[in-house]
Amino acid sequence: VSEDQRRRHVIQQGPEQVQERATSLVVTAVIGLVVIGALYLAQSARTAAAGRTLQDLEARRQELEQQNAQLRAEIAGLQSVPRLTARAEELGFHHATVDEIEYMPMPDLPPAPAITPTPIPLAIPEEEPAAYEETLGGWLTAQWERLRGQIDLFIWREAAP
Amino acid sequence: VIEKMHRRLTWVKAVLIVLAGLIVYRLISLQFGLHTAYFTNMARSEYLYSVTVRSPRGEIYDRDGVLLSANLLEYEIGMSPVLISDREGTADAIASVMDLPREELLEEMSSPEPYILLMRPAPARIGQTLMALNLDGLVVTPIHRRYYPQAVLAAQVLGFVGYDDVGYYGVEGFYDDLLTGTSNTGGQSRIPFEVTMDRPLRPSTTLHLTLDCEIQYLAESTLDEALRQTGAERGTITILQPRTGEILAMASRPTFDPNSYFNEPDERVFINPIISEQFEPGSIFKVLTMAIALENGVVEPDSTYEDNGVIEVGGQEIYNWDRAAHGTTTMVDLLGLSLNVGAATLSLRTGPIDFYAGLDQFGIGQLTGIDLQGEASGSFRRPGNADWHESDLATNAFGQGLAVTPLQMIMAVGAVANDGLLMQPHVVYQRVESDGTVTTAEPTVLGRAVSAQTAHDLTDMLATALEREASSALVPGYRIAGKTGTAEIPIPGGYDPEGTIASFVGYGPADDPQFVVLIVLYRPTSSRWGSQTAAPVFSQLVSELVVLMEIPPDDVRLEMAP
Repeated sequence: VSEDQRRRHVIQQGPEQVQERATSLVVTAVIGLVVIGALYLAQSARTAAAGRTLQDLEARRQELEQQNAQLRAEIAGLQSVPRLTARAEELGFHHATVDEIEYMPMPDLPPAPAITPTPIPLAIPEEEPAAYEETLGGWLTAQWERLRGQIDLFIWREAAP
Repeated sequence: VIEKMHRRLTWVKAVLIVLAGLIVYRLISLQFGLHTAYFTNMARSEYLYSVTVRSPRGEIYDRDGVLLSANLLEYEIGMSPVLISDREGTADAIASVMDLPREELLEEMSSPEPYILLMRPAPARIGQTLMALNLDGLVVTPIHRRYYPQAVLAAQVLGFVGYDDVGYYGVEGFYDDLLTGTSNTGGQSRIPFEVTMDRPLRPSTTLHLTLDCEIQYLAESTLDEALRQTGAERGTITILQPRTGEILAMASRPTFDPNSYFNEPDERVFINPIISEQFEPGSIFKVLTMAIALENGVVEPDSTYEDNGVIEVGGQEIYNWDRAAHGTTTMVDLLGLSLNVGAATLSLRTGPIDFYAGLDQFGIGQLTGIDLQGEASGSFRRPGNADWHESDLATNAFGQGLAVTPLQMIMAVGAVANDGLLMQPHVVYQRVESDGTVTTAEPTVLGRAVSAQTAHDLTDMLATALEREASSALVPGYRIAGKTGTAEIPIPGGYDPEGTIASFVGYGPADDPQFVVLIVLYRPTSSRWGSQTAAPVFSQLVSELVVLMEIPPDDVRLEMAP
């Protein structure tokens, strides 16, 4: 088939054939869109379900934590020292006294760890320029206090045995 | 015809395309146009709601993991009468679950009030049962309440949490920020796939205290018994680990139940007197006077002085408690007989500058910095203060004319027990963060009060003095160092001639102190003297304390020592 014949054949395609192709393109596009939409919907539904599950699990976790705390508190109340002591005394027990205890030397027992206290680090005071807020009255009072202190010390030294 | 129809269809297509274009244009303009922010906010307000996320308040445990402070879920139960559709049925249900009289409920349901409170707090069992019934007009609101399983035990150390979820007093008050954490308020989406799990900005912290529940119980039960036997109106017992500054027990009476703090008529019981109440310590202060005198080389452990039974200082005569002259007296006898003239002689020989500097070294008149809310600093006058008098130097020597807190006093004596090192007191032993990070409080030295030699000499003198006087504070099997005190109580215009503050401070074992105990009894009636009231209490307490602390008697311990 020559090149001219082929061109002629293409040109000679009827309008039905063109419509058919357009329809199939539209249908394909629609199917594509539907598939994409379905995928999107499915994914959204799964995410939403996961979100709900997450919320439920979170609520359940909080509920369980609350129940745990409640039980811990109740157990602590039942095991409180005053209650257990009273119960033990009811059953005829008493606190061990020094005389009732027998100490057994254990040669291999490691010594208690030594306590190494931490000294407070020596802070170097940062000198800040003092704001000028001295009043005449304040200055006079400070001078008077200083003078009184010196007088007190002088009197004490004189009177000391 | 077909051509005509085609033309019409073309018009219809054109119109539809134009309409579609307009819709698309409108959509684009709404999405990206000038008013985007407005519409975004409008949309967010529709599907977002505000949620505050916070972690439950941190729990508090003792040093062995015994729960001291927990969170409990309870309920507030009320009703809105106008919303109740079936009064008879609702009254029956409430009456059976809450054990309330049915007729009274029916009467209240006739009330025009919008809301009637039925019970607060209601136990979880009742709240959850009623909630499950889903009754019209019944309002069941969950409320979180702080619960103290040990009830009054260590109440003044713990403090309490108010209805406003704020901690008051003690550990609850001091560590309120840590225990509460930082909440996170944000928008939560109603759209299921936008759900996010917000977390608090900083979750709450769990605290483990230095307190030992068993030792605390021992201190409190001993104090109850002591008040009963001595007739004292109130008292305190403090137990300290001198090597670390850890508070093992803090007991005081009167006290309160933090589970029902709101029923306390007198709010003063919330205050922990061991850190907040200042008192004139009396003769237990002679421990510090002697330490300062020894440290400054004014006297040696075997020095003597001439006791004439009276000394005049600044125009004021100072007598011994027995008004007797004891002649040539040793330093040990000065402590054993608790002679005021001797103590005044020491402070006068030391001089005001060194004496008050010594008090500073012991932390007297300063906040200790303990991690509890409401600490008082105590006070004393010194040269230079307008109201200082030279007689103060003498009276201060035997613990009168100055004010200390029991905590300051025990920390100062604790410094003598700890080879002269003054420690930082603390009640929190460990902080546990929500991610499991553990921070342990390290023993911290605040400074050196006296040299180790002075501390050892003084310890030996105090122990010998107790033994020589056959003190009722002695504990069989253990060498104890300690000092009794009987202080007069200042009142306006002088001192109360009736009541005294009886006290005893002691520590042991003398060669390796593991505990310091301070007992203070206010206005005992069986006797006014600390030697007859507080000292026997000390002996009783320590004989049980050594068992709890697993400290063997001296002979066993020294035999087992490597």
